[in-house]
Amino acid sequence: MVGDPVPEFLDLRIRRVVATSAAIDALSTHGVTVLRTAADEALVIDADAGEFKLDDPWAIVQEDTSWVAFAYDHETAARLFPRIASWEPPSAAQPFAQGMAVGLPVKAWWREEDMVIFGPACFEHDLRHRIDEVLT
Amino acid sequence: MEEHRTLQVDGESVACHDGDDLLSAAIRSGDWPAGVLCATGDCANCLATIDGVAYVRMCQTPAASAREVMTMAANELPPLLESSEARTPAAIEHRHADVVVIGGGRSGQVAAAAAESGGETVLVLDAGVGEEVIAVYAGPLVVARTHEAMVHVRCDRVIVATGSLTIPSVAEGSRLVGLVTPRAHARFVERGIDLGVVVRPESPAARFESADNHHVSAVTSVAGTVPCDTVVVDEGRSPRDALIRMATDLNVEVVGSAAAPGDHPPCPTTGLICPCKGVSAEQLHEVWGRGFEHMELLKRGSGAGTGTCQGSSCMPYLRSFVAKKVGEIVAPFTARPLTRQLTMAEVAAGQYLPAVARTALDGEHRALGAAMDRIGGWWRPWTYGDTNAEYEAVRHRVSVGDVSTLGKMIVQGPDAEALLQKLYPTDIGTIRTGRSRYVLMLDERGYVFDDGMVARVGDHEFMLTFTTGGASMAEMWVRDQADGLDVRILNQTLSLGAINVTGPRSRELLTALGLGEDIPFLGCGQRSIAGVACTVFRLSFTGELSYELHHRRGDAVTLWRALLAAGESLGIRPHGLETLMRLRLEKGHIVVGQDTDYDSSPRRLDHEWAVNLDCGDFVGRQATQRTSELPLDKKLAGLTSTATPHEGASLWAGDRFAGHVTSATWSPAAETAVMLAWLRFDDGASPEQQLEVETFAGRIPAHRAELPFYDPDGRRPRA
Repeated sequence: MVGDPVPEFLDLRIRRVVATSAAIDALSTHGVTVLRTAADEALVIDADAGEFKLDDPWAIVQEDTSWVAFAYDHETAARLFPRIASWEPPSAAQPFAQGMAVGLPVKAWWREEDMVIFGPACFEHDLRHRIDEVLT
Repeated sequence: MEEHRTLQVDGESVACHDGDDLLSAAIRSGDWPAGVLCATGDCANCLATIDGVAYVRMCQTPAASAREVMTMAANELPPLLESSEARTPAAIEHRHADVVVIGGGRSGQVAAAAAESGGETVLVLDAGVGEEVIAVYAGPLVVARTHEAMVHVRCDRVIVATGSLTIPSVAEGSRLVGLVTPRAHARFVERGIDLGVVVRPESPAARFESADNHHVSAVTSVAGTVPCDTVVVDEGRSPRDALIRMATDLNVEVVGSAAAPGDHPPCPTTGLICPCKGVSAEQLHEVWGRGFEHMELLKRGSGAGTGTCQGSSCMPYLRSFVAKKVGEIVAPFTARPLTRQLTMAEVAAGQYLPAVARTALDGEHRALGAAMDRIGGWWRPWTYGDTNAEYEAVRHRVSVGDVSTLGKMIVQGPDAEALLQKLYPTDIGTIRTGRSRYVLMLDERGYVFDDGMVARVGDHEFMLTFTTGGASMAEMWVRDQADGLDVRILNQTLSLGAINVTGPRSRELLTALGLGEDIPFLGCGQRSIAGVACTVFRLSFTGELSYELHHRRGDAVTLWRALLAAGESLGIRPHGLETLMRLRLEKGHIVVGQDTDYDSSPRRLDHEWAVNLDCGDFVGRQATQRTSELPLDKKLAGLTSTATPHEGASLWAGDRFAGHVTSATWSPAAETAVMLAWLRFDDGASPEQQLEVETFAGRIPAHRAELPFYDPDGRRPRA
């Protein structure tokens, strides 16, 4: 037993942003939480579109309800992560990481209070089932 | 030592004591494997099938963990399992370190301490505590087996400190029972096993003799012949270097006695050199004589060193053998992963089958009793139980279908139109804002690899759709072609849901839910339907008046339920993929991947109407232009017959194979079986030839027919 079963899903408000690399670089200085997923793409957490400004007239900003997220305390996450992913988990120094975990595309976000693991909602069933399997 | 429990070894009950390994327990009971036993896991002389797992070294296995043991010779194949009993999946543990030290002995500890003092993170893997490294791969990636899990360690460098091993004897009788290395002797004495009269020859043994042709009874060396029950053999030390030999091109260093050159025993003239593959000294001579005059060739020609110990036992003798032939000591040959056999569960640890995606409506479909199937990487409703009723709903009333699986993408930016002009063989400039167009995607050879829609939603803003199965490939294709262009690309396939509302009463339904101003055929616009923000596309795959509602994934269930509730009085029912395939085939619409091959040009598909050669230099244009002048060798065509053939059925023109069926269904509208089929014209056959199609009842006539089979004027979707 690595830890507790998969906890209830978190209700994260996510906005997906596609813009020039420079515009996304500048985003994090606006006081919003930015998870950089690609050179030209990022996820902005818990912020309305009006709360941040992108220096790119062609930027695409969309509210995205297609993720499932859940959080583990750091102790549990430290025990769980080596069982599900070959990449190094995020840390205070590098709070966001992404890659395949339990055979699925997964993102991990280190927060001071916990570790958030999230992935596409279309794989919710497999994500929950496979992590449950690892935990038990 | 207290007798603890019994286990079955080759069908006999064997008592084992607390702390016994399987080899000690077997020897105590008199079941003694042949050959020189090392008790260090290096040789392959104590292999066994333990509880159904073959090639396990008894000396490395605690007796307490086993129930049933079947011993096996080193070069013997294990018995096939009689049952398909499911094995417990092996757990995986991924770890990271700057340095991995393999070996927990003195040299390993020194190396680890040095690395740690330099500020590096160090992980020591020690076989002595059950951390058995079985391979070093590029990365470097070190793979180890522990009692708890398969451990995969990614690191910057590897230090091998695996020490050395005793070189066993190779001489006449060296496969007798009763021969041990000093380490094995110490182990058995420690376990309280009576080994009888033990002899340690001070010079290399020339011959081992046996009174019963089984157990050693005397050993002969230059000092003479000495009677005995057990012989402790020691022909020198050899580096335990299999892991090093499989990683010579990686960032791997070796320390301690593993780095020593090792001893070189005399070249044997007789005896079994490689126990794992059963290669004798005589066979080595024979293979060398056939021209395999090199260390690596000798390995390949004889198989020596390719067995379960990867040359640990035989390497010193192989080098001596080659040295005697060529006059110098040559380097050892490369080793291959793994150094230990793994079970399939251990190999597959941490691996998963590809997951099948689920739309936001997956639960709704299942609740409605849909038969779900995996199609294009998604679970999709194949039918809700009554395909005829589903068909009737679409053709005569109203129906909904979940098309969330379609590829969906936004492309915008100053160069968006230029990008799409490269991607599609149509004049993008003539697509007005709020309008859409059916498009093909061609590769450089002019072959169709996907199709979909392009909608212009602003001067420099477009929405694209792709097929379900082709969406990932299409995204890569679009991004490749966008290189250097000022565009923003967002793949929305997973983030948007899409529901197709189709049937002659679909407008009525949507109007009741807030459609407002209607959208013209092939138009698109933003609407709020049942309070859900949607991008509405007016297009038709079913051949009826249809609207495709694209919406946030999180709103899908709300929208679906609202449509079903409001449509109840209109006789609504959802349709599955089986019905959709019937509807689209009546309209002659192709499904890329089903009706197309890897060489399907628009011309062969009878889709030249979708290609405009005058609209710029799109991908595939040159090939399309060139091949348009060649004789048409095959063509996708419509056919009818009195019975429905299976997809893939052969077509015949007399005795000549004339093509095959790609899609077939019974058409209630045409009251005949309809199909799409590839017709071959490559040997001069006439398009007008008389055809027959194979069915389960035999060949029946098939007739060429104009497409579409339903609503040839296309009035219904434009209604």
